[in-house]
Amino acid sequence: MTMLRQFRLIVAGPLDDERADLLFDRAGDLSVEAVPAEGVAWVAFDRVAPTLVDAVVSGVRDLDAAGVGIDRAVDDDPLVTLEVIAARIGRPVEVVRGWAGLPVPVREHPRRPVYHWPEVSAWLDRHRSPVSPAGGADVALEAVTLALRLRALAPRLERMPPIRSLLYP
Amino acid sequence: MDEMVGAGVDVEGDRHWLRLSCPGCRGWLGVPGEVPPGPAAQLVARRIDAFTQRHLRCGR
Ligand SMILES: [Zn+2]
Repeated sequence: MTMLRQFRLIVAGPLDDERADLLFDRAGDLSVEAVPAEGVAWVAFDRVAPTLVDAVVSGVRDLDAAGVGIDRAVDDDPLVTLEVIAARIGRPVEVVRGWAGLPVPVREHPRRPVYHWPEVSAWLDRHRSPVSPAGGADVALEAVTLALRLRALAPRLERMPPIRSLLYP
Repeated sequence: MDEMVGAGVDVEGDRHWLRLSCPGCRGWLGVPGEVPPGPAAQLVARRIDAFTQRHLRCGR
């Protein structure tokens, strides 16, 4: 089902202004975040796609085209707004805002509170509709990560085709 | 955006994107510069809110 897919690609190597320019020239549904003190950077996607796999693979192509290295594919940022919660469960934001018992936001704000998604997701499973779209997300992210790892090793392999044949038992 | 500046985050204009920097740890966030109002803008606002939340305690 074509819907909003949210995930992150952890960056390997440099992410400077030139590469960020190329990324934003190419796509308007991503953001870039860097924590130099921890040597970490990632690209977060809000991409509409038929499947998470399609979304993540097209995200990989965006970073490839911008010359940004990728370490791995991971879950989306755990910090979410009411709009994101509403989009993920397919309910109007006014309905979600009105739910009593929703976990306490990590950021209290009259109009724009911020919630911790794992807490919200667990609460939804118990009290409201289970969060359906998340099913299989871990598998998709791990599969792309393994493919990226294999791709990185390929230039150092004597022969790649036998390795590739292992994908089709 | 006002709220971010209030939270101690600098905003600089750049090409097709905007950079928000944390003066405390030099962490930064890049978001699309031109986003139509509605769902797309709300998704960008969410990225900004999350970044701001992460850097609330920086630079003290
Ligand atoms: Zn900071």
